[in-house]
Amino acid sequence: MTEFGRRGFLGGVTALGCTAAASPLITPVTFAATPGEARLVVIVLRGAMDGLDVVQPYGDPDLRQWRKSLSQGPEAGAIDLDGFFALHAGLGKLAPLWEAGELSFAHAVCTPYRDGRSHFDGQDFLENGGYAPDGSMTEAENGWLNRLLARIGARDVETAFSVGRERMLLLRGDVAHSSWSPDVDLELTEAGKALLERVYRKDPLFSSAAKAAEVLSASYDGSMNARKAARAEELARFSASRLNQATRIAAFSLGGWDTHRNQTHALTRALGELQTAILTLREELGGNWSKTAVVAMTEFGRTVRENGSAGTDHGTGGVMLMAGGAVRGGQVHGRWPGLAEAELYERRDLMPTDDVRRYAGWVMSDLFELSAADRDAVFAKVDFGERLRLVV
Amino acid sequence: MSDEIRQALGSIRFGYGLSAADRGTDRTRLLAQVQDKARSQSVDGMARFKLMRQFQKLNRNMRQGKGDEAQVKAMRRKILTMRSTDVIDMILAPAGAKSPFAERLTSFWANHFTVAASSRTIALLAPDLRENVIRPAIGGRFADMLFGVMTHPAMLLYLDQIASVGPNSRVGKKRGKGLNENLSRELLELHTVGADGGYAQRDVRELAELLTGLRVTGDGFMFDRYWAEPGAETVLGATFGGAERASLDDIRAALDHLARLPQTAQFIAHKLARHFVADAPSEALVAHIAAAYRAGGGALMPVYEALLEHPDAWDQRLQKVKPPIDYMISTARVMQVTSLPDRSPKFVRGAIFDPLVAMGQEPLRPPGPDGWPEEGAVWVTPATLTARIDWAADVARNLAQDLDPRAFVERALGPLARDDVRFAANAAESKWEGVALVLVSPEFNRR
Repeated sequence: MTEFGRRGFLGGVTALGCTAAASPLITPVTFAATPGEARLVVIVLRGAMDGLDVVQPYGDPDLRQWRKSLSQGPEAGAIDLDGFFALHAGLGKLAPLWEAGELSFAHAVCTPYRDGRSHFDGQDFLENGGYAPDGSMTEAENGWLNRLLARIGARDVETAFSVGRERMLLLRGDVAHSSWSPDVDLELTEAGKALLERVYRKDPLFSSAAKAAEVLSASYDGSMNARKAARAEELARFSASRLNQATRIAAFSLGGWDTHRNQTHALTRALGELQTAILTLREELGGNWSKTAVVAMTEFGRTVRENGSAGTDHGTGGVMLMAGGAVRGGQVHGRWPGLAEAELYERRDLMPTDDVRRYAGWVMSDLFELSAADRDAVFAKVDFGERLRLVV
Repeated sequence: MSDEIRQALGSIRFGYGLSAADRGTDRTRLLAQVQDKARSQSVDGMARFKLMRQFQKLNRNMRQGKGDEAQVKAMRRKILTMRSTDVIDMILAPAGAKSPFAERLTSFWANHFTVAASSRTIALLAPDLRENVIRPAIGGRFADMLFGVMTHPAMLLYLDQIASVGPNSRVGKKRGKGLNENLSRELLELHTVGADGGYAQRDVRELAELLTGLRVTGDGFMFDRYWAEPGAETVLGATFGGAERASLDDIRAALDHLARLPQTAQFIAHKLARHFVADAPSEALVAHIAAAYRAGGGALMPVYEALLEHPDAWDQRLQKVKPPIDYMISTARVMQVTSLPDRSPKFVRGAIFDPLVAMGQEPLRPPGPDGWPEEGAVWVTPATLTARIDWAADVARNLAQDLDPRAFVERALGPLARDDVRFAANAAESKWEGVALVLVSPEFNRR
């Protein structure tokens, strides 16, 4: 892994383990022919995005019985997409992309990870992409984007970029890639702050200092919002600058989706970042936008029923977002399971009717013109089934 | 209390916390650690001293317009790199140490005998004082450590002893110079009997007279009898010197005397208890340690034994707040950070130095010769706590990608993790954030 970060603490070269290929000392910097012109950006939405609030099935008669304040459809400002689904106002600036056929969604999708509803396991599953049902990671504990790199013959260390401070499992593996992080950084997410408040509540010294510092309070949000938006913009801008050169795959993650309380506020902020990231990519990629697919995925969805603190809890089925000039847009894909109680997974969650990896797999496959063997090498356990036409 | 909790307390309160390799320590093993002679840092004090002399000479030449600017720049760079390496060692050496209690004691005594970086020379010599004088003495007699410190250039420079001349000494008379009482006063107030130790201005003055002759020359420390005030001096009831030739032995005898005084026993016992157990330790604990000090005539092993055998030492409440440097060390320890990817001064500044400044503890810049404060409230303010949170989030985001917070909370806190921090580690929306929440928790910031 090549480090471009300027400020990173302790840099990560530690006993915690980098794979051999991740050592900067043996990263082969060879400038082989780039594998085609297509570009893929994968955004991991950490914290479990509430698909029912982002793409609201307001045409489903059962929605209202579960959602008392959230997901109120076009009447409450959401943007009607197709007479059945409406887009959360927090993504309002993406409406022109929908109109232009550059934005689509897959609804009621999930990885096969079930029941534990742990963010960490769910994200590992999503990024590893070939997980065993017992919860252990299969393959070489690598990420599916790294396996994709191997299949498209990436020999240039810049073919793929992990953007941001996190070392994403998504790109981990034998094929060398680069990483970069911006100077702008954010502290804890909304959910993290709520947890911090809990961690401090029995220690007056720490809780009073944290309160006075407004680390936990809402008035801290103003600058945080600006900083977060700036960070998302910077991640996207850097990704675009690389994708305009030799890079073909970029990955980063956005947090803030774990909306257990006051979801309207928290989700609007998280969506604001996602929207900024996508619009910045479109702006900065210029002519290359037409060859680009952006895929935003989350570890699982959230409960159908709104909880007692105007939020939602960990669920199962959710939404994946696809954007880009290379995307066949203007559609909400997937088979809608319905929201009647009997239709729900364990009578609480949106029933997943498809594997989110199948969607990511078909995007990747058509974008990079992969063979069936290549597809299987990336997602060994996925039944790709009938071709999904997600890419132009 | 379960044995498991007791063992965890052993590593957390008397070391730098638990780690994958350190699952707890008992009293016997802690005491054995004090005798560990292993040194993870090697510091050549004389080489550093010579380097600074050379640097000063070059600078003097520069001012006289005959210097070589490139040479000065190169040397400035060398000194900067050395100081930067010291900062790395300050964090990573204790973090990886096999005998963390020995590290903590070295650190305690180095703070007891504070020297601050009021000059480049002192900054370069402070690690020599710590590693080559204090560390070898932590398991010996207090009087020996005291003598070692009082004859080290860093202390003599820091507390102005180099400017103190016996007014009636040969050099004093010739140059018309006199006493500087700084070291003498701090020796009584901060190093031995304490502010309530019953001394008067007269004792300060006589001790200052006795200390004359302690010099720093181009070759380092020397005792110069031509600087020493002639005649006998009486300090807190005992009289020293008076022979024809002033000698270093008189000073040693006076330091031995001070070290044996019951006020010194009380002062040091209180300081140890306050450092390791609670900002306001019980009188019983202090009395117990002081008694061991008196009984052993200032031998330190029985003092540590007394500290560790008292029930207060194993109080399950974590009453102390780790100062920022110790917080960083314990973070590096539990994250198993063994090296930096980049040892350049610029990187070290961004990764370690600046965050420490933001947390309120600039290395080698304590508020005064009394060293770093002990009170938790000093370390946990809105601004400094924010700095800790920012830094922890930064570290976690960089290093915690492969750590599962559910396992990490056990690794870092073991049986001392409360339900709230366990809950947070489980419920965080990403691994790094879960790890960050453990790192900023009161349990991890206390000991």
